[in-house]
Amino acid sequence: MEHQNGNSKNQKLVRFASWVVDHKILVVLFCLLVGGGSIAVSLDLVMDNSLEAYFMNDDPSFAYYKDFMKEYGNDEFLYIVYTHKKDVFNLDVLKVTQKLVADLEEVPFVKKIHGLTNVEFMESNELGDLKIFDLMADFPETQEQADQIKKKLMAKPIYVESFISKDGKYAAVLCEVEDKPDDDPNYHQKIGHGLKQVLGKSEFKDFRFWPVGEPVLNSEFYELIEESAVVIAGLSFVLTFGFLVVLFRQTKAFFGPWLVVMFSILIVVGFIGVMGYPITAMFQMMPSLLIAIGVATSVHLINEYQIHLRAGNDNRSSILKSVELVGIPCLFTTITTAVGIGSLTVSPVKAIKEYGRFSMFGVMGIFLFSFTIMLVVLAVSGKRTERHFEKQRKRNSEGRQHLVFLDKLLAGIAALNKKHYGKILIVVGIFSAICIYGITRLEINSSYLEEIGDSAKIYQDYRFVDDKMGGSGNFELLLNSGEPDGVKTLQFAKTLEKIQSFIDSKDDFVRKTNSINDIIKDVNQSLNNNDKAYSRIPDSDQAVSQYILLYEMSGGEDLEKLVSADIAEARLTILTKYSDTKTAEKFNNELEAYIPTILPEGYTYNITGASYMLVKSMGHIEKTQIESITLALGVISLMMIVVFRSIKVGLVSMLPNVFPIVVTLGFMGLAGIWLDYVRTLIACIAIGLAVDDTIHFIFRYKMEFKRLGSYEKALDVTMSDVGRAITITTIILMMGFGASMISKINDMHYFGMLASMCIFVALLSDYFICPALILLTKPFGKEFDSLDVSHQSSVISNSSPLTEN
Amino acid sequence: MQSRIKTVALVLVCMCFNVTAYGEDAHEIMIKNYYIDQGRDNTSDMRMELIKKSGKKRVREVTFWKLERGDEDKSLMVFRKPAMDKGVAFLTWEHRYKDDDQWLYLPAIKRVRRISSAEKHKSFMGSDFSYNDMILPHPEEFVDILLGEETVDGKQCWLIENIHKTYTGDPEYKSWKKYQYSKTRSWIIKDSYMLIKTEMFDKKGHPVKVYHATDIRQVDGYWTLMKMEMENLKTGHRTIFEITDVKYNIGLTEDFFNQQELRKER
Repeated sequence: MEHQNGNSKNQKLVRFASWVVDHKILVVLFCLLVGGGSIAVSLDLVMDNSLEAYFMNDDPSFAYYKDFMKEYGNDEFLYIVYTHKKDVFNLDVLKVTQKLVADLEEVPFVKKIHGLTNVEFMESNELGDLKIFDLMADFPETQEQADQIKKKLMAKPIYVESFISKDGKYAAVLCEVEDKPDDDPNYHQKIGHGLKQVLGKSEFKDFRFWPVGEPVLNSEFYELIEESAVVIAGLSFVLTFGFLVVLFRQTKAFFGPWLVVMFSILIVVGFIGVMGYPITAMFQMMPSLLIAIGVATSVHLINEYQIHLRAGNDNRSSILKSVELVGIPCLFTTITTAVGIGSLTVSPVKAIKEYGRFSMFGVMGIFLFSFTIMLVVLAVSGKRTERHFEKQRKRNSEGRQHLVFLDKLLAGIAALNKKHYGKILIVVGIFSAICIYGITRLEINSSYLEEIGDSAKIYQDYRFVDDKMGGSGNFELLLNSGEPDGVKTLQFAKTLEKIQSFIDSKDDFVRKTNSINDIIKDVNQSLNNNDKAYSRIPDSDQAVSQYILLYEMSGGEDLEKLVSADIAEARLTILTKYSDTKTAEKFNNELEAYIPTILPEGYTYNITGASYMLVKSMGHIEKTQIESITLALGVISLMMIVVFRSIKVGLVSMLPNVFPIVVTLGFMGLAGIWLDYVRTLIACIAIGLAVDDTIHFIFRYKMEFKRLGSYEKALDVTMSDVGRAITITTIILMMGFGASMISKINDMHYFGMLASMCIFVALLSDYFICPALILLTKPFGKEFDSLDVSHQSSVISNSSPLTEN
Repeated sequence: MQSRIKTVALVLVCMCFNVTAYGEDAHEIMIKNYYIDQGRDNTSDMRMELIKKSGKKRVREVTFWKLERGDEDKSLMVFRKPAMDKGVAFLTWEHRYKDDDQWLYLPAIKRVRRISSAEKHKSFMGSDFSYNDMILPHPEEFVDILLGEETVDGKQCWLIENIHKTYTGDPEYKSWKKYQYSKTRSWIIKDSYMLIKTEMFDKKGHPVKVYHATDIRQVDGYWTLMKMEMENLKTGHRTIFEITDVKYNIGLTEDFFNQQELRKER
């Protein structure tokens, strides 16, 4: 029955291929229509690498973060630290700074700007009058006046390391930004671009700027992604297609796969457009993934096609026979690859889920175009191709000369397996144990900044700002008194002060904190002749409450950002060094351990903010990795068991594919390479791809065993024929993914390296583990005597390995 | 410079056109609005709701006394709620050509402090109203253009665009700090000259706030704002003022509006 089903499926594919060859123009028109349609629906693609692209809307921590922003406003900001050849308080420099502050209003989405020239300042004069004013509302006319202002500013703790560095050499401008509009995902790029334009003006050429903040970082990250995605895709293209040209020495062997890959990329982009997904950091891996898979699939088809042409078949029957032979295996490997990549859709991380979906779509696209446009390419200029191979046959199959070395290597591997399969499995076992130890040391961590790398200007800017000024990462702590107006009490102020002092003591990580207490202390100091000794919390509930009211009555506008609407809750902003998530998590854990110990009854607290959200997302990475690998292995194993109709064969075929993942994750653990968003994809992509070669290997092995009756003889033939094909596809995949190693983004660099490594180990598994396990377990039944068919190749057998029973 | 000339020319053309088209002078309408009779003095209770985008709100209640003196009004505000701020008193002497004088009495420290603030774009008591919104600058500072007539809440209104002269290139205003809004659009009720709605635009020309008087009534023969709302379009924050117990001409004198009065319990 299986035989009939397989044959029937094969015949359907062959009939379809025949139709394609007979209706070339129609097929081309179809492909152009699909490609054109995809371009049309993808014109409005947007890039978004903000938190929203990574969290599902129903994620509780993200939902809280959104509620927080609704209550307190956007926690993103632009923070521009600067210095000048002269002093930042030089009168001429201040005049240009005034222009800078005004010009920054041109930056899209900038809501409010606070700089030296307009920062809100509170003081009392000699008569005791309280004065609240923009610091330079009365612009200094002399250098002496300017120096006086500098002195006043530096005497207020609230401003030091926020607007002026401790040594007075550096100053800063803080820009509040509007909430990200739902209909404008290019928000960060617009801000980043606008900021560059303003800071690049000639009148500011004597300034040195260090701009930081999420919009700047994201905008820079986008530029790098755009730049590196094009370069990586280009290199991946040159390497893989170059290899095809060298291997097959035929124009159409290059042109066909190129069209397959191009149309597949187009439909993925169209799919993204239709689904309304934003382009995230994940997208940059898609072109090289499709190039690698597209080319690898084409290799099987072109290889069979050329073999049949060499054997003297005409162009049309060569196409149909190659489809008959590799069509179903290609369909099956497409499904396994799609399952591997599709397993990522279980991720709670939105960007990974979307990546899983559109890449799965792309893999299926490759199958579709391989059996449509690719066949059309093979079908055109058929006469010329036939003549070409006729001449080649006369030259005694010179096309295969360059594979002699590989044939010898494969024969050696087969011999080694036959002689030492037990020892091979012991070595694999020991190696696996070491790698499993490595996995236990694997760290889940992430840092945009580290990904960009220390040679990038943005990296240096962040480190500089973290060193000299208020810090570029942020946590937000919300302390809730449990009752309206509860913030305006002495008990609350004191509790908040304790927490703030504890946080300030973590000065290796925390750079600056800010809360309603700082305003209360500033009011107190201002009401008491600006005496620094009064920069403290007053000693009654009434005073705390009325100082807050005084601040508001004087035009103070920050209260809404510091307390909740009902004044039951206060916000403590913690500006930190921009760190990796591991460091941030350690700080978060310290905070979570300390706060409950000093919390009065009825009080509660919450933590959120951009840095905290990154910490939370790390938990999702672990979940993604475990769940997606389990799902991919489970579904593919089940498929193997069903197709081979044997649990034993199914399991034997899966073990060689688990090994590369164990080795890769183990290597990462031992080498101290983090597991992060991008690297979490490696395992599933690798399973999906590696299993393809194993399928080809085991199907052929089983078929040859049924024919030859001997495991060892079957191994020789299988290794010789399939071994060559899987070696070539592995080289292509390694080149496709390895191209990412030139990326300026560390994440992509490591992705390229680790994915290539994983695929290479998968090849070694197919070379050694797969044959060794088969020789040990003998899963195809007992050996039997057969006619002596020697070790001849069966590659041009007209039966498909999938239909052979 | 060229753009300024263009702006002035445009304003002049619009003014001529609007005056002839609608038979009303936009500027005159704004002056009539500015000088609406508010009696000699008045008192009221005021409830202020500050509502965040999240929908959560806080409430303040004050009692308000005002002495109308043309361009130099005096007012006193005493806090009733929240309880912790009860007794806080705020005295203002408005001045047209110099900064207002303001004094604040805080029962917590039992001291009257003079507050000096020249920043009229700043928030009024933490609300969405700025001092400029509460005490409108004199119409002579604006160029007004009649844009047409519209109905708001069933009331026939003139729609007038107001551009502060710091944006029209007027040489007299060259040294002035740019006004908070690049322009405003005001809807003035035809039969009362009361302002019912205003849209404010920031310096980039984007709409930033919307004011809406949702309850305007005559009390003791005077047109009175009973309820008004200001929404900040950028933050989604809103402020609602609700006025009750309004009384006009109760015989307040200058003596009532001095620093000593601030300390008295009411």
